[in-house]
Amino acid sequence: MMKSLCIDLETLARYIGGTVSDEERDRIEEHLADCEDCRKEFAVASTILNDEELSECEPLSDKESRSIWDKIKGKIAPILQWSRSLYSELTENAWFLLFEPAPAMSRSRSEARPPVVEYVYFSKELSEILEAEMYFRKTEDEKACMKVRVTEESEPAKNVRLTLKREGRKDVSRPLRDAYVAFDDLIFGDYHLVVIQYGKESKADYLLKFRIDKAGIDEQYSES
Amino acid sequence: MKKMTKEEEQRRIREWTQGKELEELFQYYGGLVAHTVRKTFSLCHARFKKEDIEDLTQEVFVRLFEQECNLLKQYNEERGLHFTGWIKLITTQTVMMYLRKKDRFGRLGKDTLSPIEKEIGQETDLHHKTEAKMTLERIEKRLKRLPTLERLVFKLHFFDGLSLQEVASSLNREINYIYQIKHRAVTLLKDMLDEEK
Repeated sequence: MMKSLCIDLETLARYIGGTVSDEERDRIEEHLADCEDCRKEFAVASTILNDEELSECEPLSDKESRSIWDKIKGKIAPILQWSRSLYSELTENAWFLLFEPAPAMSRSRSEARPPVVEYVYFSKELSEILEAEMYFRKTEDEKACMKVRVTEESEPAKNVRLTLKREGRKDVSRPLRDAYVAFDDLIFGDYHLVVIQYGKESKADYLLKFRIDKAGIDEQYSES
Repeated sequence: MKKMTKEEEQRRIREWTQGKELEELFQYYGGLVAHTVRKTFSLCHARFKKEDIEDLTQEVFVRLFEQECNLLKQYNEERGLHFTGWIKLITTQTVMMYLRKKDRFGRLGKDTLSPIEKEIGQETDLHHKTEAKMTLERIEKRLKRLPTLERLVFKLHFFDGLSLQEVASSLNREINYIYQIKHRAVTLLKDMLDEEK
């Protein structure tokens, strides 16, 4: 574990932002005057915050960010939480209406207006032209359903078969015939989804690994 | 990826602080965090390798995203700090926690003592390490007798190398007031040291 300081970040941010009371300001300054670690950190933070050169930093290119992002994702505990999203956000995606929550939305038990649904979504670039989109919805206490769409240059991909594997369970394998493939009654646990696209003379296969649990979806890592 | 307009940035910040579009957040601030990590190392006079910059850049984002994006969601613009400032603050803290753990801070030395010497006119052979250390210890001991703000301004200026303008800006005070405080601190220290002669 890394060693943290006596003044928490929130207080430091309020002090720097000039939104603390006079009493609190005196208390913080008294501490800074005597605690060398906190003062050093405050001095460096102040210099960094006033550094205009840093504010000119450009965003990373897709190529630059991709490899580092994959490493970061691998270090994080589930980040794709079961969430509540506004109906209006979902309806912007016409395809989503094909997914189960569409009728479910009208049956929403929530009294929130506009109605909300619970779902988790992530997409994965399988190759330069092939992309998989996955929607998950928690159906019961420890179960979820998943719908997968695979596109090739934004059009539904052809000659694709999806196989869902889970240790101790039978593989479920389905061809992508319609807009999506649905997998129901997925009990919480670790899954492997194999996406195979058959070409005229060869086939390409891709593997997506994820865990479904009460917190949401942990997209662990993928390899082709 | 293009730079965002102010309105667009505000909308994105709302999304990011709700834990959405995190890859986009990384793409937008990844470069800033990496530069801030490098700069923090330099300001702390600590040696670093390319791998340190990469590891700590990743560490900053892991901290932001772990525990359901707790640290990210803590951002509140009403505290008076811009979102970029919040990212910089977390980055600085992450690097300094790492340096403290590794005990890799640069040490106070000749560069720190020179301006103090100039101000309070103590004659010391700065080429002699023991002598320099003793001078610093004498000053540090007497600093404890200064009022809080005088003590803080003196240390930020002489020990941490902030200009008086930077001290004024960090402490949210007028520059003239900081000049007065620094002058008072130096005079009080001088008097203390003269009394002992």
